Amino acid sequence: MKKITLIILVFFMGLTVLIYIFGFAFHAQSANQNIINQTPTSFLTKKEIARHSTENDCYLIVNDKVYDVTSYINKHPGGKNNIIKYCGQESSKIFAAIHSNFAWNLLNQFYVADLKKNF
Amino acid sequence: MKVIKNNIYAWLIMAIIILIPVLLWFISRPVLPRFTDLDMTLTNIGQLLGLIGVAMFALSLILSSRLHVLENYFNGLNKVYERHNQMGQIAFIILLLHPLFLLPEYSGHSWYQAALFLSPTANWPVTFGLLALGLMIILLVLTLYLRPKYNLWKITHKFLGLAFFLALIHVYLIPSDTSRYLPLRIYMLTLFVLALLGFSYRTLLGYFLIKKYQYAISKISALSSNIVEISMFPLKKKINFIPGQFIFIKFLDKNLSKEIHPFSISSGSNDKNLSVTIKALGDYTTKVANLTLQSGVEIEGPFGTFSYQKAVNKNQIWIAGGIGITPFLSMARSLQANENYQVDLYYCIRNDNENICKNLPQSILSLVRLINFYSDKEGYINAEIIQEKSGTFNDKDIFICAPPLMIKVLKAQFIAKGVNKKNLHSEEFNF
Repeated sequence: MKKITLIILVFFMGLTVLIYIFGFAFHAQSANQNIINQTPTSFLTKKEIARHSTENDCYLIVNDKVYDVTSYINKHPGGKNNIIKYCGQESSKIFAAIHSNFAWNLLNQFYVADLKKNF
Repeated sequence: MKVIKNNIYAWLIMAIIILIPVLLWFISRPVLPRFTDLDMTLTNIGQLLGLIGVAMFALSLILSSRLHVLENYFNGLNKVYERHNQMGQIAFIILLLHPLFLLPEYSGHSWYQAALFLSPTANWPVTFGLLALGLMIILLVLTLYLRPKYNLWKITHKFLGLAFFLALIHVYLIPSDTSRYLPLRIYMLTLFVLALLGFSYRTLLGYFLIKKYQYAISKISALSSNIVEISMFPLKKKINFIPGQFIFIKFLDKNLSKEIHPFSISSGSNDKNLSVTIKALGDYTTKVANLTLQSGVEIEGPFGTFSYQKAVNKNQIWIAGGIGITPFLSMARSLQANENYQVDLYYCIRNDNENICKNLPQSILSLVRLINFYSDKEGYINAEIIQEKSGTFNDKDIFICAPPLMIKVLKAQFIAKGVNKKNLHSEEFNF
C-alpha cells in the first residue's frame, strides 16, 4: 500500500511542478511577447453585442469588455440559465457580486473585444 | 463467530458511510447532463473523488479515537489502527486525484490557468483546499516514509486534525453540489462533526475525558541483560483486565520523557500488583530500567482482544516470539487448575541467555507445558515442528505473539495444514 501511495504522490508532485513551469515561466514569456507584438484591440457596440443573445451565441459585457461565453454555458457551476438571461447585455454588477477571483481569471479566456461607448 | 460477524458489520458500516454522499450527489441533480463531454465528465468524477476522499478522511479520524467499542468490531486495537492506516492512505490517494480531475475544466486547457488553479490565491475556498492537501502531503510523507522519532512523530501526526479542519472549510465554502443540495450538506456536516469529536476526544479533550489509572512503581526486576519487569501498585482504583490485554503507560518519573507507549500486561488478572515486562529496543525502553521506585505511573486501558478466554477450544497452542512472551505470562499466571485448559507454550528465542521463563513457579508449569525453542540450535520454528510436538491441530486454538513476519509465515503454514482462520489468533507488536 505504501508503494502505491508513493507512486501516486510522486506523479502528483511531478505533474504539479510541470504545470508550474509551463504555466508561470512560459506565461511570463508570452506576456512579454504580446507587449512587443502590440496586438490591436477591436471594439463592439452595444447594438452589435445585443445580436449575440442566445444560448448558442452568447456575449456578455463585463466592465466594458466583451466576452464570448457560448462554449462555457453548459459548464457553468451555477447552471446555464443564470448566464443565458444576461446574453447580449451588460452583466458587470451580477458578475462582480457572486464570482471569485478564479472566475474572473477564467473569464479572461473568453475575451473578444472592448465595448465601444457612446452608442 | 461473533468476531467475524462484528468485523463484517464494521466493513459494512464503513462502506455505507462512504457511499451515502455518493448516492446523495447522484440524486442532487440529473445525472446525464453531468457527463456530456470529457471535461465535464472529468470534473464530476473529480467532485465525487473529493466527497469520497473527505468521507474516508473523516472515518480515519474516528478510527484513531481509540474508543473501546471500535475494538469489538475490528477484533483488537492493533487491527483498528491497521484500518486507520489503510483508510488514511486511500483517502490521501483519492484527495491527490481530486484536483487533477478538476484541472481540464477549471484551467480552460491553459497551462497558466492550471498553474493558478493549483496555487494559493485570494480565492479562499480553493486555497483552503490546497492548504489542507499540502499539509496532508507533508504529514503523511513524515508518517509513511521519513518516520522521525516516535515522540516527535506523534506530535506532528496530530496536525492532521488541522488538515481535516481546513478541508472542512474548503468543502463548505466552495460552490458545489454540497453547497447547493441540503441533504448532502447536512450529511457531510454530521460526518465532520463526528470526526472532529473523535479527534478532539483523543487530543484536545483527552485530559478531561479519557479515563486513566494512577499507579506507582513498587519493584524493578532485571530478568535478563536487556529485559526488565516493572511492578506497580494502584494509588486509587485498580485496573481490571483480561489476561493477554495491553495498556498505554506514561511513566511520570522525571528521569524519563513523558511519552506514552503500549505494553502488554505480564501479571495475572488476580494479582495484587500490575506488571509489565519491557525489552530495551530503543531510546525510551533502554532508560526504563533506571526508573525510580515509588514514582508515579499513568495508565490508560486495557485494550486488546488477544486472550485465551476468547477462544472456543480449551486445547491451545501458544507461540511467543522473543518479547512476545509477555501476554502469555499474564495468561499463564491467570490460568486456574479447575478450568481444565491444556496448553503448550512455545517460547521462541535465540538462546538460553534470552530466556526469562527459567524461574517460572511450578504452579504455572503444572498448567502450561513450556517448550523452549532456541533458533541458534534448532533454526526457526515452523508448523511442522509444532505438529510433531503438540499433535493434531484439530479442536485447538492457536495464539501467536511475535514480530509481524514470524506471525505471517506461521499463519500461512497453519492454514496450509488445514487450521481454520477463526482458530488462529495473533498480536503483532508493531504499533
